[in-house]
Amino acid sequence: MWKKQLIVIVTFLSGLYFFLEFAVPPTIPWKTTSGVVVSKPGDKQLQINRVRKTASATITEQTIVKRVPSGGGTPEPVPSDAVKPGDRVVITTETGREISGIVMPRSSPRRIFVGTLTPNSEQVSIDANMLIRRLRSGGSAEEVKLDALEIPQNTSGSLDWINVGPTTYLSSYLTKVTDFFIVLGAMAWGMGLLSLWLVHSSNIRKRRPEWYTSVFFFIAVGFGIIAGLGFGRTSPGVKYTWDWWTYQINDVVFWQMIRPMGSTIFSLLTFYLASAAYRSFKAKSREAILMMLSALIVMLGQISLHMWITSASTWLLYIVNTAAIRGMMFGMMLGGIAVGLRMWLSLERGAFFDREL
Amino acid sequence: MDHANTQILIATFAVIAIILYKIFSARAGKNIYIRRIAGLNEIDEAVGRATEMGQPMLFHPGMLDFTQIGTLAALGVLGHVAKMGAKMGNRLIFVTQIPALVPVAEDIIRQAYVSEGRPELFNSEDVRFPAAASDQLALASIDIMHREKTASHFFFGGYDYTSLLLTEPGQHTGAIQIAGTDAYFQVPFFIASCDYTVICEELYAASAYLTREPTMLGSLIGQDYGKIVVLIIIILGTLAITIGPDTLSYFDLFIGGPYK
Repeated sequence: MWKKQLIVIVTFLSGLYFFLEFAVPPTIPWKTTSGVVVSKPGDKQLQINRVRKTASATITEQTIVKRVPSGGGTPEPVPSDAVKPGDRVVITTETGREISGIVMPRSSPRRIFVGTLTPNSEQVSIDANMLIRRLRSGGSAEEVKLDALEIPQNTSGSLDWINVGPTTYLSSYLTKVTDFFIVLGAMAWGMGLLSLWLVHSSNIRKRRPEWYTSVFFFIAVGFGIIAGLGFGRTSPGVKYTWDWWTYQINDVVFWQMIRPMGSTIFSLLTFYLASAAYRSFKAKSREAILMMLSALIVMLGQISLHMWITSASTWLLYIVNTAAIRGMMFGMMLGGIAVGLRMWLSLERGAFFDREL
Repeated sequence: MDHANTQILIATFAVIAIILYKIFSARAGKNIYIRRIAGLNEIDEAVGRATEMGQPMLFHPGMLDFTQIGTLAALGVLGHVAKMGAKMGNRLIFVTQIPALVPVAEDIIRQAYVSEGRPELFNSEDVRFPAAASDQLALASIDIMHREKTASHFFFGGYDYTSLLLTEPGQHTGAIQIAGTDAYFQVPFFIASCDYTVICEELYAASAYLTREPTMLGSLIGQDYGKIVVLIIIILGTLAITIGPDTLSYFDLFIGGPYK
């Protein structure tokens, strides 16, 4: 019983960590400064300027977005989704209106908000517990060190937009926590090998039919270990060391045996595809007839038989198929949350716990 | 790792709240209706058929890691299949390419056989890790199908291109095959080569459907309410894009959230 209670506690705590790491901002919100970096007055100091919103532009196919390079210069056309907060842009809307300014974090791929530098700037001291997060295009932020920030000579070009503040420490432990999975995975390999050992040694001991293939298994494991030792020993100079022969075995095992055998297995798929397709194309039900017809249209669409077949094929592949897949994806995401929640709170029954705890 | 913006945080809490509310109302004894999922209903029949023929069953939990939802859902189905197998007195062979699953599956199957009072039917050698690569495992599975003459095959979890390599030989040997996957590109292959296919989120619903525990069924209903919310947002988005790009851009900001 104590084992199950322990599993419940560990599952809950680890789930709580990952949930909090996702939900809690990486820096304390009320102590975080957000703005563009304009200068670096000291080794551990940053001058951050605030930006005031002045305009916004709807992004359509006709909109032209040009970005001013860092330090100033001639604006260059860029895709609208490539701009990031802090970039200085010149946007020509579909009506011909020209808007210029610094891209603000409120922007989205369909509407870009721009602003101008305000006289309000703040000097921030970067201590050991301060986290600097630079905003990227696409909506996310990356953690950067002070040295990685681009400090402009002048503020007429694109700038770095950062959020800087005291860390909440949750994200700092993420690597260590995920490393734990790697350790568990490594232990699992040992268990896998043990399982193989048990099966094959028992085959040999009990002289089961074709037991000699199990002997071959142990020989193959031995060769595999030696071949693994020779991995990557191809650089000049290594050739004449005493263990050069391990590379030769590596070459034989991985490149001359496993690879062609893998290709052989893969080629089996062709025949299986043919037999599965033959069965699927039997018009047994209404659904099967629909599947058969749509497959026929898609196949004929690939050979450019007629314009309307190609259009119908494209429509089936990119409109109908995408709609169906997105429907599935929505369901799966919600299903994922439900399963995750059941696991996290140890409400899952059946395989994991046969009764409520 | 990316952090939640305000919209995502609200949406996550809303979905969690709906699911928890439904779980607790189900535990309070509220009647719950869930639609029939043919593939899951036929599991018992497949176990029964293998037992009648006096031949073992084969269970495959997909290609994905233990931390993936699809694999966890597959283990839920494994528990049910093992329990049914133990009840009917049949043997279950489990094959995987994920070494971490070996002790977990062993524990689940042993627990199922013990709880049905048939511990002698459990053999740890039936939980096998024949290879670490999916194509090699497919070949090993084909070998088991022919050698052990397995009569029922269960493929649940996340799959890659080897889905057809795994299932087509079963069609040739005449085994009854039930598959369920959240890898939607593999669904057509399973439909073509298996007798019953459980599609995408139905896999996640499998353990709830099979155990019929009110707690689990409640979470399914909560999940369906979440779908209604998503549907409303899709309709609003469709209306926004129909009205014009300007409306859509504001809708996008409201739903998708700004850069952060």
